[in-house]
Amino acid sequence: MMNWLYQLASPKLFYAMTNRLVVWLAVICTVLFTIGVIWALLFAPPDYQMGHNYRIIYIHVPAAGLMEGCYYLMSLMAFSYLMWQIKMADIVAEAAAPIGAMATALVLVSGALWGKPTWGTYWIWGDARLTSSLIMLFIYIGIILLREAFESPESGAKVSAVLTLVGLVNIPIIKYSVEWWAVLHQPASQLSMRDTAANPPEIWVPAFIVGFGMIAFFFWVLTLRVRNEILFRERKAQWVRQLFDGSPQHA
Amino acid sequence: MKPHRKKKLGIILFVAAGLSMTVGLTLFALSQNIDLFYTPTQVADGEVEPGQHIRIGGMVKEGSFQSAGDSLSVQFAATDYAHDVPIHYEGILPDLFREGQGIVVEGAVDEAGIFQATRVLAKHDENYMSAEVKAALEAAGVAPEEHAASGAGSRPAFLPPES
Repeated sequence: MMNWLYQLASPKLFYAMTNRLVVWLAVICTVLFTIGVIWALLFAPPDYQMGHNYRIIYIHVPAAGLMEGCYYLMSLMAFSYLMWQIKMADIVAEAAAPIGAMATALVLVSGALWGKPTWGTYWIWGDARLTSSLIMLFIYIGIILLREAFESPESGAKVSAVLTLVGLVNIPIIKYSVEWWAVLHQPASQLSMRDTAANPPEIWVPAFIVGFGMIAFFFWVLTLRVRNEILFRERKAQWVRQLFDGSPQHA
Repeated sequence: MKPHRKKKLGIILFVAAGLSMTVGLTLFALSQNIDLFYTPTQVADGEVEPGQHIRIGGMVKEGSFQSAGDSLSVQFAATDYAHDVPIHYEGILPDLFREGQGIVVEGAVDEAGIFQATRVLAKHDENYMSAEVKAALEAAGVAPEEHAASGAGSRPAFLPPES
């Protein structure tokens, strides 16, 4: 297990080990999204209050999970990079940030589209859940921009890793905002196994399928981006040159 | 662990702990201001000046809704089951608006003690259920709210849980 981890920490071995992985992740992602979205949009029953409006949760909630999960991974990578100077950790953190920013934007937009017909407004200033989610988007964008703001890649990597760890304080604020303060946003649903209770399986199972699809999507796109970044950073290395031997631009 | 790593870990943990404490204390100090709305009890206790622009959150009291009929002018009471605030509003109500529904209203209390709302928002709860199950439960004489409450607390849905 440790040996396997050490191999992943080497850009060259990571590249070699993920050749097949990206294909598998693409297949899993496509299958789960297809099943999940068709089930969620066509077969899940309409809600007794909101009718079909509520179906936005099948995008909104998985996207919110990705927003948080991506940040946990980036924090772990930022810590590993600061602590042990693992180059791969920095590459993963850099590759993950735009995916997390995209997920956060999706959460905000889908929430707003649901809020208009349900609450009567797209946005309400001062709601702790909404505000902390918007701050999350700014943190993601800040992490992406800060890296670019430095001449040397090492300084950019270090400072953006520090900002990533600083931004971690926002995660529990997002999660518990609906419990700590009076807000418009509803708290987390208590899922039930019974068909006759609130939030029965017929409603939440498709959400989980889309959610697992979202996880596969994340690791698929992340692996592609990491492989790209590895090639760019190691472009002068022997093994990358060999990889492209015979291709037109290097012939 | 090598000494310089130990030092580095110390710095990271120190910064993280200091930052968490700063944020925690700031939020604790601001906790009253972070709340999106006042409750009818807070209004009854005189925490709000007349004319002050605020939000009030509560349930639309059963049997309190009155519509002018020839205009969009409506009157109802927002309640937290301890105190009521009479509310006047002129405009289009959200689809989910009905008696017993959690709402958030924006506006100010006038001299007569009536809250003149400029905006009414419906608060949605966290319970989703299909229309068929809901109809079946009603036919069986089980109130879905009570049924739903088996998983949640018994506090009104618009209030944050007691800590």
